Amino acid sequence: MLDFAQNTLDGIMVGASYALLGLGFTLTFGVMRRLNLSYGPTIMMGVYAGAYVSLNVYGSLLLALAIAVAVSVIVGLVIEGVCFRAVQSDNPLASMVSAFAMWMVLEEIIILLTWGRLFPVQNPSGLSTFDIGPISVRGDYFALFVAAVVLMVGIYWLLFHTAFGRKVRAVGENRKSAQLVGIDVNRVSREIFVLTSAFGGFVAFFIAASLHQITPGFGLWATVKGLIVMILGGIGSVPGAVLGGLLLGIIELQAVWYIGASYRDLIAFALLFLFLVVRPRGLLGQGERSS
Amino acid sequence: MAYWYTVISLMCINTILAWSVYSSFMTGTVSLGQAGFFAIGAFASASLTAIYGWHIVPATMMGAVAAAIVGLAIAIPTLRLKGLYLTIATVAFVEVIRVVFHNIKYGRDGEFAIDASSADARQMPWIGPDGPLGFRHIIYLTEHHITPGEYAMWLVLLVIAFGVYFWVLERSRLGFAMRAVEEDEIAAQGVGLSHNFLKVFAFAIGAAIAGVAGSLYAHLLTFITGDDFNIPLTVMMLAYVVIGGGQTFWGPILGALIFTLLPEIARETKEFRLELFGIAMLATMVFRQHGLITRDMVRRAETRIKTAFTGRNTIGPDEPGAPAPNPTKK
Repeated sequence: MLDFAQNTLDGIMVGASYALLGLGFTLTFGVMRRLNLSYGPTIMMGVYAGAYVSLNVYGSLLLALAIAVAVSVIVGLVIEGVCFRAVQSDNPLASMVSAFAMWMVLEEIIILLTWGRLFPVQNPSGLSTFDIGPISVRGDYFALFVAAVVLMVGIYWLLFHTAFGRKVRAVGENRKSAQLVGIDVNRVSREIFVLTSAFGGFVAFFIAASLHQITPGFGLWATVKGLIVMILGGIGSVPGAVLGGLLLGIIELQAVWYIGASYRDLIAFALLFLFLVVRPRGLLGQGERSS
Repeated sequence: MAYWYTVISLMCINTILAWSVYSSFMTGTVSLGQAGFFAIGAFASASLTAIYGWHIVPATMMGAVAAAIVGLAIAIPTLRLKGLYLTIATVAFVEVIRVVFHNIKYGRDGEFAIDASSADARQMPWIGPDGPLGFRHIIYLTEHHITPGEYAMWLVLLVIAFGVYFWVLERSRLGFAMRAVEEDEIAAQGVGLSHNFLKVFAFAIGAAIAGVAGSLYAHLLTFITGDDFNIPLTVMMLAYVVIGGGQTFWGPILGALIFTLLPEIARETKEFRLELFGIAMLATMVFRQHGLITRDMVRRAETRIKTAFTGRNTIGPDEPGAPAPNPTKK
């Protein structure tokens, strides 16, 4: 029972970061009705830049985070321009394929620059494990969790209590009607790319820091986790992404403990898939909304 | 020369894969699950030839059947979803299959390649998938003395056979029914077409074709692991169709040929090879958003060929050469 509680707590803390990756996907999809496959590589570029600066220029966590966020936003804007603005056709697959091409280019750039070796990311120092009663809490997981919760509250506030959020939800509801009532849809698209890349870069830096390293495979990892969370929670649903992320984190860590680390992904994905067979629209998804 | 035979074999396999995406693409179902069916075909048929000593042709057929059965099981629940939602939901399937084959172990002990009592015979080969180490020793081709050139020739013949299938399909009532479902599901239902049957049928055929490609791939490479069948691969298969053009079956061929040949030709540029490759993909998508070959181009070419043979100009308002309204307008 104690093991179960410990795993659940760890799962929630890890799952909070998955939830943010899923949010990044779901928000972009909600606004654009396009799948941004290069979301993972975008935030990977940010982490590399932040880690490089903190390692070679000035070893400050705050500076590294700022660099990570700034570079993610720049790369995100480039992707918006090349893969979504330039490829504005009635064929949503064109954007998906060009985002995939962008992914290949970004990953290759990283491999060229770092020779494909893993790159150290400083762990936020002074965060050691502490205990709450019989349950121990990993310091860096806790920092990740706090950061994720703060970001989620911020995103919730932005989406549901500001004019910007109203615009985003209007465009997600119906792009054409939003345009008719005078919303600059292209501007909202750009803003949503800035937003998702910024919090993606932030949380990705924390994830990489808790692993102490980053490899060129991080882009794939982040894309897969984000996609799976988005599917699990229901495509286009913001609370669904949060719930899906937490659920994936908990299932993964329970699977590691009770079944074994090599079956971690198997259990998580098999459950996810069975779930999708029963309820293909995900936890809180609307299912077949016309695009 | 053997190098180019392998490149030709890979081109054939990628063409078949592109067609497996195209099969369900015709009904408007965009699948990102093909890497999963590819893996099922590869592991099933390689198990039959390597472990049980089957002939490659029935083994390939069994691989296709296995993939089709799984395809049916996937299609029936998920085809309730529409458009990109379905596309994204099939991604999860690829991950499940990848992790299953990454962890699975079955098979039998192999024979020592050399005398068992000699000092060099340290390890007995394991015939069958061996967890993360992958499925090694799929040596059907070398055992049966099939040279790379012969194998490439068989693959080219197979590609032609599949091409004939799609050529006939696109001109048959079934093909038109599929296109009608792609255009407008409700209207198709209104004229008495069972759109669910057509979609599930096209999806299962696509899965079977991917299974055939999987078998060919496993025997060509002699070594497969679960990690070969990942999400980038599955997106790449869709990219063949989207870049080549998904309106006729000629598009997927062109897409697969270009994107298999391009990285090989660009070997001169060494480490910049994949950047160039990605930029080429980006440029294609920016400038030709419906792919390199569109339906209009094929129709115009067909009319020109017909005119050349019959000496008559057949272009009229109802003839295939007439300018069609934008066919992918949704």
